[in-house]
Amino acid sequence: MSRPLVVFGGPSDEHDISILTGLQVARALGDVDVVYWSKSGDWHLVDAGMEAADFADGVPRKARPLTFEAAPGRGFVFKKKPLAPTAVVVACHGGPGEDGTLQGLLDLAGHRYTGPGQAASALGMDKLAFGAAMAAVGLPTLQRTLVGDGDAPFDGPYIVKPRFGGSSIGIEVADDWDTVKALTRSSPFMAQGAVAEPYLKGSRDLQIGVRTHPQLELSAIEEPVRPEGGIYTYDQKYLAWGGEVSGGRQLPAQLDGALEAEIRDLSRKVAAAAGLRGVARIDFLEQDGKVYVNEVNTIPGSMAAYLWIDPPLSRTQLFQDMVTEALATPARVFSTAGSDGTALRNAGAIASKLG
Amino acid sequence: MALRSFADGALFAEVLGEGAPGILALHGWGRRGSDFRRALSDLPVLAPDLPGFGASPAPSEVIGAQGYARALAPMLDAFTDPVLVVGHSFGGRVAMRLAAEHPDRIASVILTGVPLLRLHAPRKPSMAYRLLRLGNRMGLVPDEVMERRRRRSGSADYRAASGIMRDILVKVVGETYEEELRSVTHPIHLLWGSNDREVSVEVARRAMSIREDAGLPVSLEVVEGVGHLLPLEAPDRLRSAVMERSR
Repeated sequence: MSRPLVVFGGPSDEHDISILTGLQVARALGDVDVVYWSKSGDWHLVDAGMEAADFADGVPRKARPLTFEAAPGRGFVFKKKPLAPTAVVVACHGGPGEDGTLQGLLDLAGHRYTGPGQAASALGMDKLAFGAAMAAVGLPTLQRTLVGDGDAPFDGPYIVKPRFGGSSIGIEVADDWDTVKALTRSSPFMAQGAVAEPYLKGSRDLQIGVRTHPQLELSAIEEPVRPEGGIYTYDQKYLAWGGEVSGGRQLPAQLDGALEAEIRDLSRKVAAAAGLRGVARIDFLEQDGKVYVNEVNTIPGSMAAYLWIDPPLSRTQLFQDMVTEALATPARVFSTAGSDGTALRNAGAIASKLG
Repeated sequence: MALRSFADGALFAEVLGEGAPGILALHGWGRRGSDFRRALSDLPVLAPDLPGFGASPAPSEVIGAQGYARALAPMLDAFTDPVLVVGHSFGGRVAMRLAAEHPDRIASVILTGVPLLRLHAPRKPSMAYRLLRLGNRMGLVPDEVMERRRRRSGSADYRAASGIMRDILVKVVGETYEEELRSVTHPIHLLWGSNDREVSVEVARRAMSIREDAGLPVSLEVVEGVGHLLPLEAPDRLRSAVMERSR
């Protein structure tokens, strides 16, 4: 019988965290197939009752191999038979599971899936393009520049980030432009490019969850507490438990009414401009009452379920609504309008085009 | 608290405080320079990410603490006066090598939780493990199986390390510093957590007596109730120790 399928893992820096999110989603939804995408990129059908530790040394022993066929009506194939899930819950973080690669594959197979489509996924993982898109629709952003050989475009200190990627891995604060360039040369996380922006001393992070079904809704706003004077690290963000740090956050954040209203208003605009779908988390920076759109996480750790406290929303409801949304509307519909054969019939011989 | 690059981008260091740096702070294995923010944020400190940790690229060959000290040598040019070097754990071994190799550039040394000596002879791997390892070297035991076995018996640091850093760890774990303790003439202050389970206070006490026997300046301060990560667990005590010696 057809049922939803949860996919997690994948060749990504956030592979392990994705397993935690995926197992949470699978457990909360109950009747699902569970697909583990290994670090080396293979697909495996696994038992929904598995624990995180079963994946600690790689592919679990009882995993059964799957294949994926990028053709309509095929998709995830087990023993030559398509699994034909009702919808695919994408619980991947970072890398090809969140950057549009998997989404494109699911589009080609005709699978319905949760979260944004291929293009919005790719936009969310490209910090340069995302910042530019937000600036283009008039939303407040920090000056963000691609790091190249040129001179400093503005004064430091700088925060330098891998251009592509969804986590805090590889993000550094640099004192001067030479250091920015040196980091970009040496950091394995910045091999595909880096962006730099001014480091706002004394600023704070403010984060909000967005979901798009049954209608656009915003969560409470949280303020993760940074280490002394530093940035929010991968360890702090994730290593406690799938995005749910036990301490180190203020939820809801203490904000004055006007600031909260501004963040909520900006969040709706970001959701529209970035093509968000499913559950996302938008990160803002605030300094002296001024707010900047910083980043979006299109598939946040634990699906940012911990943010939905007012009004309270159960994890099961949150995940079920994502599935309902995936079933209601495809993330992408291909169109062949305009290719009705007329151009082909009138084209004549190909040889005539070569002259 | 931002990074600055040194040695043509081969090294990155946290720059703490204001003005000309006077203190060099070296972190432990698997840690990074930001460990010293809590204790030393307002003091003129350079706290490098040692090669292979944080932002600094890994060494291209397997080196020990001496190699690390050589990699750090270009940073000494950033200091005009002799430097107070603080070393935590593995960073303390590097500090000792730095003091041995550049005596004129170093003023004094503070060591905390540094494995300077071995209290017990290293345990020999079991026969079963050695057979498995031999099988792996001969191509009879797959790498995956060997890796699984290694993970079961290796330390947390060993399990977390990969590539060249694992080879470096194996090299540095075997090093001891009796010779440096007998030859480095700078004042050495040993600041130890009484609950340090990684490197017990006994190591500090033995190091202290080696120094005393050699007639070299040494002091020991034990901080009750504190473990191995003293720079994070008792930042005020580290700060006081540094302040006292940086005047």
